Amino acid sequence: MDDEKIIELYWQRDEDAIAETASKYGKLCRFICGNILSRPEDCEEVVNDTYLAAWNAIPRQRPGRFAVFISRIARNLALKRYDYNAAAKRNPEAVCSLEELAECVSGRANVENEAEARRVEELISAFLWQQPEERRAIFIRRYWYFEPIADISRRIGYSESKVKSLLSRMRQSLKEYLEKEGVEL
Amino acid sequence: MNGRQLADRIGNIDDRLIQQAQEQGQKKARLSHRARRWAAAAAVVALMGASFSLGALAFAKETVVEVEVPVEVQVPAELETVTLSDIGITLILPDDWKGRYGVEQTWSDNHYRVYSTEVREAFGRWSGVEDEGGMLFYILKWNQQLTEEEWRDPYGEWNYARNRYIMATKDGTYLLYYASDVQFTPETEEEYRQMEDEIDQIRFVADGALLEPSVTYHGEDRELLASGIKLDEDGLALLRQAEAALAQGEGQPAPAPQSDYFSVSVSEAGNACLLYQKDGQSYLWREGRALPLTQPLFDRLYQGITEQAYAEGQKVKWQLREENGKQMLISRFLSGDIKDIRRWYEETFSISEREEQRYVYMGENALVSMVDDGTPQQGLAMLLPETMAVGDKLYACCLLGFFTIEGDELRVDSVKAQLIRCDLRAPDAITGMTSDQLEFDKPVGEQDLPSRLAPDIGEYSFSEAEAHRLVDDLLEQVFPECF
Repeated sequence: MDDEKIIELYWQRDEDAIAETASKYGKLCRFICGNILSRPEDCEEVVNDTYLAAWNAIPRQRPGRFAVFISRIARNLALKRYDYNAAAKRNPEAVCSLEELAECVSGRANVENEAEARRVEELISAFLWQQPEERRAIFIRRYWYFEPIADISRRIGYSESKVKSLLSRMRQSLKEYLEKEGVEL
Repeated sequence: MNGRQLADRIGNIDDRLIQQAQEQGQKKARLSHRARRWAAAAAVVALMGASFSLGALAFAKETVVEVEVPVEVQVPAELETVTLSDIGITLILPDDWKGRYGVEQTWSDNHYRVYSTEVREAFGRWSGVEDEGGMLFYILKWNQQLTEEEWRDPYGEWNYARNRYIMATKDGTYLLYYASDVQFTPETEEEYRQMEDEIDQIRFVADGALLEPSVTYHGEDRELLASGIKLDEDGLALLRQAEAALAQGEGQPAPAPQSDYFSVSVSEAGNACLLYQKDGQSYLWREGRALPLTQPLFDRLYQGITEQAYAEGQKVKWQLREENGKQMLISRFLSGDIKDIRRWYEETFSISEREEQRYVYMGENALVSMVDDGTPQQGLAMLLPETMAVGDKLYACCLLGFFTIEGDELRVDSVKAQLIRCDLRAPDAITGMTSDQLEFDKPVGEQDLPSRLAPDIGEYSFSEAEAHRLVDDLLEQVFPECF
């Protein structure tokens, strides 16, 4: 079923919307959650919460890119569960990705208001749009999907050392870019 | 901001970026990186008109035709290129080399060196010498036109190191040479290795033509490329045998060797074997049977038998034994017959001088450098290393020769035996022991190890067989778990 029809089911409050979402995007949601959470039961719970969150968000919203919409919900909920579980020692891949990102910033948790947060997000988007498509994809797969480097390497066809090297340079470039734009890191 | 907050910000980037990344990951038939760049480069050449002629032939089999009005190559902007104008070659480099390399001319106008800038800087800080280190490859010209056959001649003076054929012109043959010594520091090894791995992807454009990709010559008939997928005729024949045997249901049920595989030298039994990996599991295919190997054992086999052995031009004989449920791999690096260890040492060593240091060579097995301040110098060399891998442990036994050099005379003072054991999962965890000096005048079987006082009392004789028995005895005594 195509995405527009699925969204229409949500709008009609037809519970088939969830079944269709699970059928089409269940695997993607489990993939994202699995990259962040190590326990299968946590993953299953978060995936189910994702469907519920989508049910609660639509209507009111009518997402233009449903795949991204549902992925983002899964990602955010998985990260919340990660925080809740204090899963720093449970899933090395998620920790590795976060530790890598920590290189770009000061490490001091600061209070961000909504406007500042949106600005940083736009800047990151702008930075990524400037990169070649393949590098963008590698960055996003690592830091949005939390995909393991070995999997990215196989998917893209680069050696692991090349992927690591590329990510390292991109993190450095992102840091410089954000600092140049006046973002307090 | 902390990393977790940054992760949240990344989570809310433009939907189109995520969708694009999602779609790219789902592509089933994706051109390989190499194929894409090839396609791009080939497209460039195709766009140029037909009104040019080749000035260089890939392998000079006939008189090279003079170039007639070479058309300027218009390479797409996204390709990373460097033009060596003196020799008329454009290199198409890997995209991600942009900003990471430098090019310099050395020795002569026909010698170019390409280096990693980051690695060179680090090497310079470490060594205190500028403009050294970081070299990825160099290109130079031999003043003769080489055919492919000539280029492959292992005795050709141009084959002193691993190289690739670029092209031949009326003036000579251009070869790309890989670095043959360490060019990086510990912290820059990863950067260096990543670029080194991509040298094989470099393509060449000369006189408007994209040159055919050349093979890499390693100095041996068998080529083991970094990606590990190339077999010689023996390996190919084996593969066919293995597949046929599997199809008939013979041997252990094991995946047919269809993925990466490596050819190895003959075993002591005279059978060629196949080393390969499939679905994350390593195997040794021998005599119709597939033996699963632990990864450390596979790595040990591959490194010890392929890279090291071929690099040193040594033959390696090895035997894989299964006894009492343990898998043992015994490899022996042969350094020739040994009738008289001391005489052998003294005849094999050569002393040369370089600047303020003196070097002692013992074939490919030892290199000792000393500062010559006029006093007798002492050093040691390793002889007859024998290794045995059992499960995740590696055992090595070697004989150490201690010598003294006075003037140009070398004298072997004593020989000791050294045994080491390391965990292949944690190579830094090494235990070992060194025996006292061995007694030259006593047969191997009468050596009393590990404690011994051995005055040097003259002539002695060790046969190769006796030396091998000695190391077996040593291993058995000190590491009985091997057996």
